[in-house]
Amino acid sequence: MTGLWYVLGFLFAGVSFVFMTIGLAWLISHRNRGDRHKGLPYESGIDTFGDTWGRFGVSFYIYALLFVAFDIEVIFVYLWAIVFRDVLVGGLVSMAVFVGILMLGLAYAWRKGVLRWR
Amino acid sequence: MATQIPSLDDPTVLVQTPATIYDAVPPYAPRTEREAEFYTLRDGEMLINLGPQHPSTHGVLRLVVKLEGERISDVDPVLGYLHRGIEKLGENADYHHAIAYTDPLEYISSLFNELAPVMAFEQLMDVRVPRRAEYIRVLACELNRIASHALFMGWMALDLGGLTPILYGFIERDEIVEMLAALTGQRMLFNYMRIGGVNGDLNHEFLSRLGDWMSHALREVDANTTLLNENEIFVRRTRGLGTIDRAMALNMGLTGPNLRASGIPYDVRRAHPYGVYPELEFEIPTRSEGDSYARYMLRVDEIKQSIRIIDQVIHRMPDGPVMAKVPRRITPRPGRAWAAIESPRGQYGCYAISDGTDQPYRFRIHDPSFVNLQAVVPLMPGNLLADTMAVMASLDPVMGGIDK
Amino acid sequence: MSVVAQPSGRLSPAGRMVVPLLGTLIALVVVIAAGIATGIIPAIVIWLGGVILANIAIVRFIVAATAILLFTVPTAFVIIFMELKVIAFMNLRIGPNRVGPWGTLASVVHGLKVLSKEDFTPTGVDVSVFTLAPVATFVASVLAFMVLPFGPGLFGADLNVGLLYFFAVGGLGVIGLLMAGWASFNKYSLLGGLRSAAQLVSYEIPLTLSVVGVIMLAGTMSLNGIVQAQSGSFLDWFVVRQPLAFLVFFIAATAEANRTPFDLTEADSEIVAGFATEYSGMRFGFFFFAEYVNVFLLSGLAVVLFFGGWTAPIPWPWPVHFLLTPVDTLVALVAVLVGLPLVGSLLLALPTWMVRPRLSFARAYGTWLLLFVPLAIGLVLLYLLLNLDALLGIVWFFIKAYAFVFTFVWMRATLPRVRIDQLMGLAWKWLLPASLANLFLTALAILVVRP
Repeated sequence: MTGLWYVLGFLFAGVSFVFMTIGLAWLISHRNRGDRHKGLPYESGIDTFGDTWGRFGVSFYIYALLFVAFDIEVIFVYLWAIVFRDVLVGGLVSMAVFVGILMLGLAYAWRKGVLRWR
Repeated sequence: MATQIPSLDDPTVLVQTPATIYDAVPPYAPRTEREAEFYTLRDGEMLINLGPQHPSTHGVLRLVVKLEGERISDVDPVLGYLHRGIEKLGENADYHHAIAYTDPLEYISSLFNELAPVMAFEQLMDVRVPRRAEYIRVLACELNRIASHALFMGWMALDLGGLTPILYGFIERDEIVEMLAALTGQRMLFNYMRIGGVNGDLNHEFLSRLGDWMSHALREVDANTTLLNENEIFVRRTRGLGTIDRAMALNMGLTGPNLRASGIPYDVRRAHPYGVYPELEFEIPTRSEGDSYARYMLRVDEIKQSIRIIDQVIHRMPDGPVMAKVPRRITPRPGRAWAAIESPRGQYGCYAISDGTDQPYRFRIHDPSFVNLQAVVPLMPGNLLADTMAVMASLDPVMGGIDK
Repeated sequence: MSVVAQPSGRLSPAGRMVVPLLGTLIALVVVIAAGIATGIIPAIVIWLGGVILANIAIVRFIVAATAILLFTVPTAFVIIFMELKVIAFMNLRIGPNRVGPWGTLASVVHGLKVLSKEDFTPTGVDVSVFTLAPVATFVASVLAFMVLPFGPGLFGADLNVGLLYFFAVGGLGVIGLLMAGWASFNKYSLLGGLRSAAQLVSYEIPLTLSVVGVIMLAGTMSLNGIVQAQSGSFLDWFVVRQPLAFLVFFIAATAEANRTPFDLTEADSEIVAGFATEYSGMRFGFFFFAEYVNVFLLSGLAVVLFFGGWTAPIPWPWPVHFLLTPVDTLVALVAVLVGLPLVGSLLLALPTWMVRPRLSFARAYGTWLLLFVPLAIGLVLLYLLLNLDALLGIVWFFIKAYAFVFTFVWMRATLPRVRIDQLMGLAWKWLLPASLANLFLTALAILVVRP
């Protein structure tokens, strides 16, 4: 329970530190609205064409799907690793089966050419 | 006449459009079919400007890149941000002054900019250059070629994210440039070539600096090269990237290292010899791969050949005057002349027409970077955005020469 | 010719600082003496002590949070200075040499400059997300800092899921970069933000899986416990038993810290500064603050997991234990600190003065004092080092951690940047199988060695 309070406390301390510093900077720095050119997004000195917040071809979404699968796996592996000395052979076999299935999935994805940036 | 089209850079367009509107197309009607096709965005595509004010477009080149995710589907280079009208300035100056204007064209290797016009004017006037002057020209130009290539090696690394090689390249370049400053009086825009010879004879400071540098030049070049070409990341990012095959290189009219990296041993110094190059021993290095790595390594080989040429030139340097007898006021017979030399970036030519007055009637510069830059458009599509910089750097364009 | 006697307008710069300080000091002494005499100060001290003892847990938290937050500032400054100076030397440049000795204050001046610069909000941005992005990035680093043990007993909190917590919270920093990239209304930033997401999905799995071998060997996820499992000589460090895991971890940690050769999110030669293109002033500063804190954080984690944390490479074979009570020790230390310089200088100044009569005695004494004061301080510190494990632990921890920081800086000076698809290929095709192989190798080894 202490750990949770520490996390919350550090969260609060960190956020307030950042905001206090930004506030201090806001107090001591000069500000100038400028003309409209000052507020334009920087694109090498040329006005931007087209919509920045439009549809964007994220070509790594399959990686993201694989990532989710493996990230869940990591949690199981961590817990298994802590108690490994108690489960020994049985634990190793079951973990090998578990990871093996995931690796089969990865191998399938690899074979299908998903692990190539498009 | 066509209707006037408000340009993007027209200040009234900028002031009058509200700040929050970002049009899907530039605020004028497409002027060509290519432009219409280029500015039509398909689903998931976006246009992004690399340059003119961008850290790694080698000057003020502007590349409008059409991206699909990170993958480039089309690219449109926009030139003209560094246009200074040097050719026209040259046509309004007399023959001696026109040479001085050419220096800032390709500011990395200024001596070559002077040499081509000087050779063209000499053809117009039938001046015979003393042999010592010819040797000094070769010596200075080869030094300048090394300075240019040394900087290229660093720049290539900088565009790929390496911080150190650029400074090592600058050390090499600085030694040469100091040397040339002792010879010509200037570090960057030398203004050394004269019609009928060169501006001054070799002096003691130049020779002592040259001796110092020659004693360690090859070693330094090898050390700087191993910084990059033994680096796995660098090799993987450049090998097989931006491949120009023989047919494509010839069709585009590429010259210089970019052409030789595709396996065609065309070098003006051998193909159409000028100066005292026929008397010197050197090889024309070629590579067959035609990719960015080959273009990089080819320039390294060229540095070594240049060092070899310099070594021969020093040993064969004849005695004699460094200037022919040339009148102050030059009025050549009406006629035309074309002179081409091998600059660090390729065939650098000058075309001059005389109408009998003391000013050239036409004064045109053919710059290799301009031709080489064409290759950007077919090479980019299909690559990732990060590869833009590797390809651009390996083509080594200098915007001063392209925009003139 | 005393300094104090001169009118203050004619004082040297040092004198102008010393005189007011002296005045303040004298006033303070008077006030404190009066307070003690009237019994007010003892009463306050006793009351305060009571309050602190009653709420010792809260006080510990406040001390820990303040210390860690304040610690991040000099850490960032030191790493920025290292980056300036070390890369300068590797580039054969001189580097910063104007502010402070050898330019050491250059990074502090940079920090103050960023603090006083205009913090501009461009027109098109999503203001709230734009402001919260640096907060998210920085707070993620600070939260991860909480579990990092600097020395025996010196950590924010010793969570039993420490390592998992570290990776979970450390990964949050990427959300800040993604927010910044999206909110900036700038295409370079958008590309940078999405690159950071792509980077996360590629290196996070190898990073987390590579340390499973360490968890199996230590039998715990608490970082404190992992360090204790490596106590002994440097042969007990996990890098000896888990070299493959260390290699995978180090590569993935470089990506986690957004350092060269994996600094794709801010690739300055491609997408200008990536997520930070539109930022300025302190909000920009916090991104880089967080980046440098992250560098230290991951160096610290590498030290904790693989290089024995605060433990010495070779333990001091003769533990020094003086048979003294704490009070006696304190008295002895003060005696050494005060007496040694005074008496020692006197003993050596007399012969010096007698041999060279033209030298004034005060000058001879002062010269020897200059030698003896550092000597006494050094002796006291040595004693403290040998007897206080915490202090020695901190020293070792910092030596090791800064060796890693140096490696990160070194890599930045040496390597070009990889391409995003190369990073993903490396992570999924090489690092992930390698870390899984390491996991099963470790499991088999444990089975064989301890059935």
